[in-house]
Amino acid sequence: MNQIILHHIEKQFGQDTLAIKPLSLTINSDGVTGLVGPDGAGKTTLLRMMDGLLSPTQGNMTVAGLNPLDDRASLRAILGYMPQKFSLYENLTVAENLNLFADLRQIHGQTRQDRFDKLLAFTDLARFTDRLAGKLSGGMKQKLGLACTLLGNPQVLLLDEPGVGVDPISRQELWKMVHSLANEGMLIIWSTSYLDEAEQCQDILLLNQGELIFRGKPTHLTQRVEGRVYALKSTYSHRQLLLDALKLPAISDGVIEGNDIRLILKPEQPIEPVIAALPSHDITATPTQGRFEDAFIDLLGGIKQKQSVLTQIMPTFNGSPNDIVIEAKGLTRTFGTFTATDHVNFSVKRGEIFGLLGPNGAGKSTTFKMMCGLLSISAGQALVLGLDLKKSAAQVRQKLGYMAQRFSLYDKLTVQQNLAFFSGIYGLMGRQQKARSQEMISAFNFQSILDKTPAELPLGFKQRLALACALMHNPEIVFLDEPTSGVDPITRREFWIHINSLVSKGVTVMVTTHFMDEAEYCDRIALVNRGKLIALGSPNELKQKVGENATMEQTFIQLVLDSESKMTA
Amino acid sequence: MITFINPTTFHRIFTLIKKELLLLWQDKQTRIILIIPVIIQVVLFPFAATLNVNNATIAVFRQTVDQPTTDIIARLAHVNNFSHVLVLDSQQAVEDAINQQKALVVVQFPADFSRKLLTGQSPQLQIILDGRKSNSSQIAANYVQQVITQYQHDFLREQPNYQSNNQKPNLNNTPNNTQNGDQNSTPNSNQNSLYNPIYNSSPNNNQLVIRHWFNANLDYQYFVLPSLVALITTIGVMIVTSLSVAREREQGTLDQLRVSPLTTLQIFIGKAIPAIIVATLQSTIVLIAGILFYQIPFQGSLIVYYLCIISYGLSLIGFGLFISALCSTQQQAFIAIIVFMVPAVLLSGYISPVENMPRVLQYLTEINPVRHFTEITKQIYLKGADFTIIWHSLWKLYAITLFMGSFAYYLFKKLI
Repeated sequence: MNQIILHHIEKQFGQDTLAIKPLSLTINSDGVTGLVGPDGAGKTTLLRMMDGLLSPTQGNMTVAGLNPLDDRASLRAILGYMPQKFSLYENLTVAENLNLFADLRQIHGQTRQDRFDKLLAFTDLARFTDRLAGKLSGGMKQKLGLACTLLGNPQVLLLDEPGVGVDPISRQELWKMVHSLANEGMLIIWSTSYLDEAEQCQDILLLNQGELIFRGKPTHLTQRVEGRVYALKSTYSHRQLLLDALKLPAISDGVIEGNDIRLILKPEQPIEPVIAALPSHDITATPTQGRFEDAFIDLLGGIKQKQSVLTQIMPTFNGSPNDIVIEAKGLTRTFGTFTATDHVNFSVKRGEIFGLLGPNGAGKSTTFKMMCGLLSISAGQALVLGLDLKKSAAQVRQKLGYMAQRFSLYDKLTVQQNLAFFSGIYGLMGRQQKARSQEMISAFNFQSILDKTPAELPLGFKQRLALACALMHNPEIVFLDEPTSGVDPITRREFWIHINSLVSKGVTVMVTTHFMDEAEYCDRIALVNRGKLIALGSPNELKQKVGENATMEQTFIQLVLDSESKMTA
Repeated sequence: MITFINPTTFHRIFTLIKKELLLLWQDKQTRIILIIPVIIQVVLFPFAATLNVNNATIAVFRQTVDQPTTDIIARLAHVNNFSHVLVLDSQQAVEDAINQQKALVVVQFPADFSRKLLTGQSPQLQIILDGRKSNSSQIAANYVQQVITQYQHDFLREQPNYQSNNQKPNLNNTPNNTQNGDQNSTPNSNQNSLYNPIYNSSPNNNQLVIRHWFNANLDYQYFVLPSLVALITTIGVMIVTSLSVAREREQGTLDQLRVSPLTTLQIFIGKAIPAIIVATLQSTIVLIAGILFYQIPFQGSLIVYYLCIISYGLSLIGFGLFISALCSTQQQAFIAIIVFMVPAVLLSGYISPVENMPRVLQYLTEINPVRHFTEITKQIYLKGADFTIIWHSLWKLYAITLFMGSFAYYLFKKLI
């Protein structure tokens, strides 16, 4: 049986950054081992040490009986490592990529053909052998990367965040493949920052800031919060209910799930006083299953910032909640012969959170970009506050806030300079500009980091800074493009508390996301596949379409697959 | 353009410019790209890119050993430009000296050289040049020429019949009072003289004396340094415009600008002005080095020159932003800058004079801002030309600015 044995392994970068704190453990090959943790937890560092690409500062380890540093050559033959961004040659076809990697591994003759056949069937890429790797979707690229890694027939397989940027459907397929490989006895480590993926693993190594904080079956971790998780139903606004509930000291954590909210109580706290303290009287609370993420956050002591300061510093936008503020009418975009967005129609009302979801390459970014005026429209209309963004730019844009996927801040400008810049281009000047900057600084606690650059800050701070920059000019519509990708779960929940309080002030939010639990925060969701709008409705309505107790992820997968079969039929 | 009067618009553009300058200054990488090359070039170029012939080896071969040739060889050995004099002993050695690149130039004295010289006839003298190093060997030949002419002249003056033979012994009668702003003199006087050496060494005829105006000592730093102002300004503007737009694109901040109320024109101006500021600062460094360190006197008006630097920066903006509109990564932008720079410098008159190029290329140089600015620089810096002369080149820069600027703006609007 293959084993990875770590003995007092420690890794230090520079003088004082401890990437991996002393770690001793044994990983066996029964089932997939999940290496779980938020960004910067040390997952990649650990994997690279196992592969012999990095040497540990202290301690020693064996991988399948071999020392990764001394026996690198022999380890190469039995180890497959798929880095975060697997280096496929984008200008080579699928077949050419496979051939190249087979050449590099010196696999020839009949063995080569047999392995190709097997892997192409396994990854379901046989139909695409002539397609350029660069033209594959995110999910297919990962599958091809996996195929290339598996060419050497490894006994140990290290996968570094294979699920990043992959939609739920492709992710499900990847998991299926990896499970079947694990059943054949391969030792597999799958690293991930999506905590919901952890539930798929047999064994979990939960890392946080270089420290192992949990080891065991995922269900063991969720047991931590057993009896403390409740789903609350009420006719009262679920959003307001969550904001009120989080103010109570007995609550450790809470999220929105469709029309309901899920609360996690602090240990030894009964639910009854909580319900009594809430402003609504028709609340029904039912105990429910805790999620892996709930347990993870609980393990780290719950969320700290339970109230959003934005309530105090954002103005209230009055206006009828029936006003339509964003509207797509027959929105179409073509690239050559390819139609990325195909006659999409939807409208967003004031004060709504509107989510745009879809698999990779389905056209959701294209649609999103047209809505906020970053991409020109081939046909149809994208209206914001009744105006076309491309034409009557300046006045409308003054009312928009935009936060991009990678928190597009100026990395070399300090926090203070970033705030000054973004308020400046939105026309804030003089005393007004200073006052607004000061408000943001005290609201988000930027005082101590004013002279630091975003590059030096943890992702959570960066995200908050990006949000602050986007809100300097009091926008009444906010566009969020995958606003929480790569951010740890606690920061993500805190971010949604901010968004919730924005909405309570009458701000309209349009968001794209890959996280299914974030989709739950939306009032309505537009699901896009192959450029077409395939479903539109509240999270609960969509779930109802699929089944009574369907999760958001199941709903997503089912609806996309249904549309696929309809389109090909 | 009416919105320009609006203080908010002004403040927005000011914010953009401030951001750009802060980014350039606070980013270590850009800071290095903008400062280090300037220093290296200012220090290295005037020495390394010299067109003088220094440390060259000259070979001599004479069939008869006699006093005049010995004197001439001694004089050649004293010329600073020749560090070694190789005395050859056979015709075969002459060939070898050139073939094996032992010497740049071989001077071959015929057997009757001294006799003809002494009797006042025109002696023939063969100078063999290494055509592989055509430029430097010609320059060297020119030096040899001067030595021999000088020797003949000295030799004849010692002869008793010299006075009666020569009608005009005064050699300093060429009109060389340094006149400022003589536009009819060739702008590349120093270069042209090199390419038209006089090989005729007949002693009795009228002496031809070469005088290099505006660079009396033929010091090539006079030529290199002012051109360096043009070169460095070009790199500065191209890097600031092309690379910064590409970087913003890579980091996603360009999208952030595009969703803001900023207009394309404001973004355009916000990129253009910092580039000109940087270019002006860089050229100031070169100017200071040229005037104070290399002691090349600045003849013209600094105010006019700065006006020209800014105008030149403007004319490059179009090229820079044109590249930035087309390139999506910094890497592409960098390659594009090189693709622009190499022909622009080659066709600028810096490497070889524009007048020597084929007609078609000469026309092509008209749209090359580097060419016009190199010319302006030499006019102002070395000759102290006044504005009316400068205007001949300056208006072309404005034409380029207008043409390339609007073209780049069109692309910017369309593609960004």
